[in-house]
Amino acid sequence: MRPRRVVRLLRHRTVAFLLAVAVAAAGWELFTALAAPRRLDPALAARLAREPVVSVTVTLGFAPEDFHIRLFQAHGVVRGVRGTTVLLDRVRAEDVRRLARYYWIRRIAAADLVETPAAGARSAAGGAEPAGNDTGGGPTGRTPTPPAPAALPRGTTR
Amino acid sequence: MRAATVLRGTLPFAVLVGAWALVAGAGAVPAMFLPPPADVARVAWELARDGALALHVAASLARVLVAVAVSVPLAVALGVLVALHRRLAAVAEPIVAFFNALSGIAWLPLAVTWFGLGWASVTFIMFNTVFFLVFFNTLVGVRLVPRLFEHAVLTLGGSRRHVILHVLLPGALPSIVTGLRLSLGFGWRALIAAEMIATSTGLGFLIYNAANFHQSDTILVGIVTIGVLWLLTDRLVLQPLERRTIERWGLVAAGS
Amino acid sequence: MSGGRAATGRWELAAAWAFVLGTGTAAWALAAAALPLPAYYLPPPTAVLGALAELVVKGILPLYVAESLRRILLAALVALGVGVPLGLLLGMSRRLADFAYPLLNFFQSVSGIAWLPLMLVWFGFGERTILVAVNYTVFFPVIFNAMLGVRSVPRLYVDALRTLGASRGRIVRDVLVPGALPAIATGMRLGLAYGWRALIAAEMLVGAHGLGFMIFSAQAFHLTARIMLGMGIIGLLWVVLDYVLLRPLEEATIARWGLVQR
Repeated sequence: MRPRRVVRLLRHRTVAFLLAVAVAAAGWELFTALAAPRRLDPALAARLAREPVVSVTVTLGFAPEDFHIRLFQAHGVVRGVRGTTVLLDRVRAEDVRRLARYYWIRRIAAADLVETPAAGARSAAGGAEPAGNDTGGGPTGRTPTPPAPAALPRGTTR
Repeated sequence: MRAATVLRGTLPFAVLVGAWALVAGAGAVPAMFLPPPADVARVAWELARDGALALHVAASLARVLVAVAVSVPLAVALGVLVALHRRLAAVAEPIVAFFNALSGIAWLPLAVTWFGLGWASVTFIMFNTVFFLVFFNTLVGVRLVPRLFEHAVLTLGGSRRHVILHVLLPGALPSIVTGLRLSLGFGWRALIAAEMIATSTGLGFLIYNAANFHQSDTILVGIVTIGVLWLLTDRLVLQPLERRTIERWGLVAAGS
Repeated sequence: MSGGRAATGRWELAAAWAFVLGTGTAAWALAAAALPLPAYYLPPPTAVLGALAELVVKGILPLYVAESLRRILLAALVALGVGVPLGLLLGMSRRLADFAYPLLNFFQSVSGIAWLPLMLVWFGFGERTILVAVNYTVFFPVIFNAMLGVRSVPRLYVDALRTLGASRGRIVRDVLVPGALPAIATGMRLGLAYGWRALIAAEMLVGAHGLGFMIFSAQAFHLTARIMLGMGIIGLLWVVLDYVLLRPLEEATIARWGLVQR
């Protein structure tokens, strides 16, 4: 195609939009991939090379909501929440790196080897933590009980 | 000729039901997943006999009727009124288009927040869907009526009322009726979805509740009823309406 | 003959927009502050903006938007890749088309959401249930319209090409497909409109990460600002999708191929 025709095609709103989306998506992927290693604690990074499965503490900039807990549960076992930190057990090394790519995670460090109590620690997160609709169906496709009709918060107690 | 048309309409379904019976009868699929047609027919009869089906159908249809009866006159009246003022119309159009895009079911959480669970929220969803679509189509329809016709009536001594009743409304009717068809289509679907979530009567509730008990036969009865009701609405309400308005005014031939 | 009252200047439009948005927001803020309602009934505009900031910072909104978009785009691709060819094939045979017509009409009338309870029995509360329901919803208007599009191509054109000695493949490529394109575009637009709405409903019912789930779960905790934010984004996404992808497609095919025979 001649240059002028290409330019005219590019200016068309559909093509321009799709191009912009593609560029933005690619740029974002690049950015997250580059920024990920900085979130890993150096000690953790060293351990990842040696151990295939680790326990980590994930520090966020805010108290985690049910959304985040569910997301973490897809990668490991959530042992507890204290303030803005989530203790995540049995995470594979590649999953740690995958988690590091999330921009809303501040820091991932190696967890202490002491086992922390699981029960009750969830309620430590203050404020309105919506445990929300505690049904399955996320990326892992678990199939627990059906969601109740609206306005009946399920799973608010753990 | 009539018999041939009826045959052509029902034969495909007969074949479908036959294939269904074969698959279900072969035992390849457990009855819980695909109950045989005989089971479904039996459940349909039971539901009809003890009035449960009638109850749910009536609940759904009542919501449709209430929503349409209130929203259509309101939407048409507002649409004409707004269209008469050029600047107002230019502004209103994108706003109404946006609310159109805001699908009916997306209103449900807000409706439940305001009205709680029950028929009010569900009817509100239907009302919303119909209102904005008919409003939009009325607005667009009136705005597209060529000015020439208005001027002609005014020149001949007609009053403002004449212009509205005899030029703008008929001119906008094809658009309005199209809007009605679309909004009923969207609205019926939104209604079924809303009934699954927010209330305890209606066809949506019937099939969603049956899923909790793995009653696939009841679900299929509900699905067939939903489809049949829409097809009946299309054949008995929408198509005659389109014939009398759109085709009468010489515009688009009402298609299939 | 001009388009009646339709003509308006671009600056006028922009000014009118600014006016309406400004007064609308002000009225909303006023109502939120003045009306004697519980706080969660009508959060002020600032609360909605706050919810936007919060949900972006927490990484929730981008993921939910991405999930919803992923599902609808997948459904669009399936409908395009499978529905269009199948519809074209059906349309090419008179007998097949006549046979399929009532069936497709019926299945199109029943939304994927109505099938969702059955899918719940089959697949449980998972991603597959949502995908089946949404793909179904988008699929049928597309295949139906593709078939009708082929049937609506005047016999004259097909015969003309055949007289000139064209092969069957040539006829399909040069007459049937272009002739059906306007109907296909319309079918895509309708299918995706239904599908987008079905997706929101399915996400609510199945509870999977997505915009529908976001507004549904927010309701349980009276996070009305999140509900309004979610609603706005749902509407906005459809407007963008329609305006940028679907409408140009429909216009391009209709404008190029002349009259649409519906």
